[in-house]
Amino acid sequence: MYETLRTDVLVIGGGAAGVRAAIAVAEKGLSVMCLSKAPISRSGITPVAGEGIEAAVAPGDSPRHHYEDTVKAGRGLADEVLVNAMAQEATPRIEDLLSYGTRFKKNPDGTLAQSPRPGQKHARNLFLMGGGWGLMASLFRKAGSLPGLVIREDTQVLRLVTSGSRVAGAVVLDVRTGAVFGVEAKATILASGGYEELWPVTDCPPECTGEAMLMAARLGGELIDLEMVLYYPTVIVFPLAARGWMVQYEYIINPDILGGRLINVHGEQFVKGFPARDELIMAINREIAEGRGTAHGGVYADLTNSPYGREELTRRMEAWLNQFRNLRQVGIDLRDQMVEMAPAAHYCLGGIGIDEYGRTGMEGLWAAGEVTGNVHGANRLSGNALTETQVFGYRAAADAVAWAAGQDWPGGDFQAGVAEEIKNIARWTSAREGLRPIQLKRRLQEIMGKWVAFDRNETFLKNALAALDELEPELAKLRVDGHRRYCQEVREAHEVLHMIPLARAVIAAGLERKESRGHHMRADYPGLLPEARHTVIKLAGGISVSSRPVRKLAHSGGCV
Amino acid sequence: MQARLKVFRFDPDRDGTSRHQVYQIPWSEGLSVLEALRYIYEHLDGSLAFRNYHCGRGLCASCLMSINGQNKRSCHFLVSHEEEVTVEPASGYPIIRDLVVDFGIPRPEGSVRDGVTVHRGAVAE
Repeated sequence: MYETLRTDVLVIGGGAAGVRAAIAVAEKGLSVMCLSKAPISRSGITPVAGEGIEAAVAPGDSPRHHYEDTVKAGRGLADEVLVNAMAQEATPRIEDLLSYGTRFKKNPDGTLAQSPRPGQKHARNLFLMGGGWGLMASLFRKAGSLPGLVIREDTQVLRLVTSGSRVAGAVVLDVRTGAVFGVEAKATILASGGYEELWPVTDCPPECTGEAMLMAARLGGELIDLEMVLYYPTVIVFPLAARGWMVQYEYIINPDILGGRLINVHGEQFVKGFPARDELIMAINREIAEGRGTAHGGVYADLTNSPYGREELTRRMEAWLNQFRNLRQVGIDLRDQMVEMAPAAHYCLGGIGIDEYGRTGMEGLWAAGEVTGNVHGANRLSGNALTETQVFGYRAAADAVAWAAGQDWPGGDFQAGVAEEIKNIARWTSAREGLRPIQLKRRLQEIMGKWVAFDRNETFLKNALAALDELEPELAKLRVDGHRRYCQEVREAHEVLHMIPLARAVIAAGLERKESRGHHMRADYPGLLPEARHTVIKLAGGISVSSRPVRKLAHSGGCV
Repeated sequence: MQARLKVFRFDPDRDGTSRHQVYQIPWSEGLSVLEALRYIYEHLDGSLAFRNYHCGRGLCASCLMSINGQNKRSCHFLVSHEEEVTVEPASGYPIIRDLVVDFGIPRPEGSVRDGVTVHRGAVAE
């Protein structure tokens, strides 16, 4: 008999959405287990997120404005019902955070301070002290104070288990010990984040590989708008010591904050004003494509000519730019040198489709946070990613708790699931020859970087599929290191096994969307289609690709 | 030019005692200890355990290690081509394997954490 644990609710993911959901479950008195791939508050995307979280708390601002700005930024693809829920409940969730001890920048009168971002009618980004890490650390402290909330770090979900049509829990690898065990749960909440690691240049940490999302889709979930990968415009590509670090252009080019500029290799300023992310990416892309990019394929961020004197600039950099200090640690001083920056995969707009209660359409499975696919649409406002984690983490948990309270244990064949996974691992560890998972990941990333970046066309996307046809059979040759303790390669084998089919789904969605909208730019279809539709990928019983209309709020009055 | 890293190896399941293993890798300007370990893992030795999942830019502190005897974030510690670097698990935490430790529960911001004062991102009140 293999060990099978029981918990009322299983949360997959230890970032801001997952831990928020776990807190909400525990506060209702149900048992909850939260799985995290690595130590909480030291892993996932939340700790590396910028400090902005949107909520309309300022005088003169309102949920209605928040809603309207978000829908507009989504370029027609944001699910209006979800956006409405997010705009309405952002402020109560900020109040929750304040009660957990999360610290925000304040005005001299003690009210919460805001900073402006492109696309906002009112300055709406609250400023988290300590950035995403500050948020995560306070959520973790709150979680640690709640009885009935169990956290398992360094774990990897190997499969979801079903009982009939109901999701009944998961088979889990404890990476620290190499043990494989089952977790039976009345309700499961997926909060496993994005899949940025499919690409070679990303500012997200390497564990963002998307396998749990793919598992859910294989059981019947819908993958919505997977082609919509938000590139952040300004991620360092050179010097190499800081490759993959995002630096907020919103501060760099804001004349009221740092007064810097973005210039091409000829020293020309190629953008004016305060462009949104997708607009800036298009502008940078044009500079690079037309031969005005830098040696390492980017543009320069230049703060060396800031109108603020050195002393004042230093003060402002320390106050606003969370990378200033870290860059100096690796020998890069933005006051003295220009750095080369280019767009990099930053946030997955697409993912599992949900309704306003976080339901996935599968009995027993909810989802929240970046893993979901229809909240923001084709472009996301700065600060809404963290708002999403709090609103939908809470909503999914509340709905899952209400449902789970009346349910029996689901059952499900955990013994067979664990046995099969142990057999897979034994096959990989006993192989004498073959390919290491990291080698296959790098080959996948090369394909995605070359053919499925922000400059897409049908030929490129089909080239990627052909390259994946060659790569996929190599998965049969996986071999991994045989240590049971901290079995990193076993987990990476499991990840890449899912990353390649996930890449196919992303490409299928990219081929389906024959237009350029938000962060999906097709050189062969540069225009917008009159009606915005979601791409829908289903994987249960073979891949199927379709599209459907975007949900609008029922009455034309908009936000309620 | 080459960099030399002397790396702590220990699997409590298999080894009676720890040992150090020396790796030589190509050196380039700006090479961090973390990048050097990634190079070793990817190109030389897949059995080396360290926390591969990290932000790589000083925010998450997953890459905390003892470097030349002091706890440092390895993403911020640059390797010299002139001197060997000794890399060991962060002191003060239980060892899982090689350079991987169990960090346990984090402490509040503003406290002294991991031998460095917790001071993240933009702080201006």
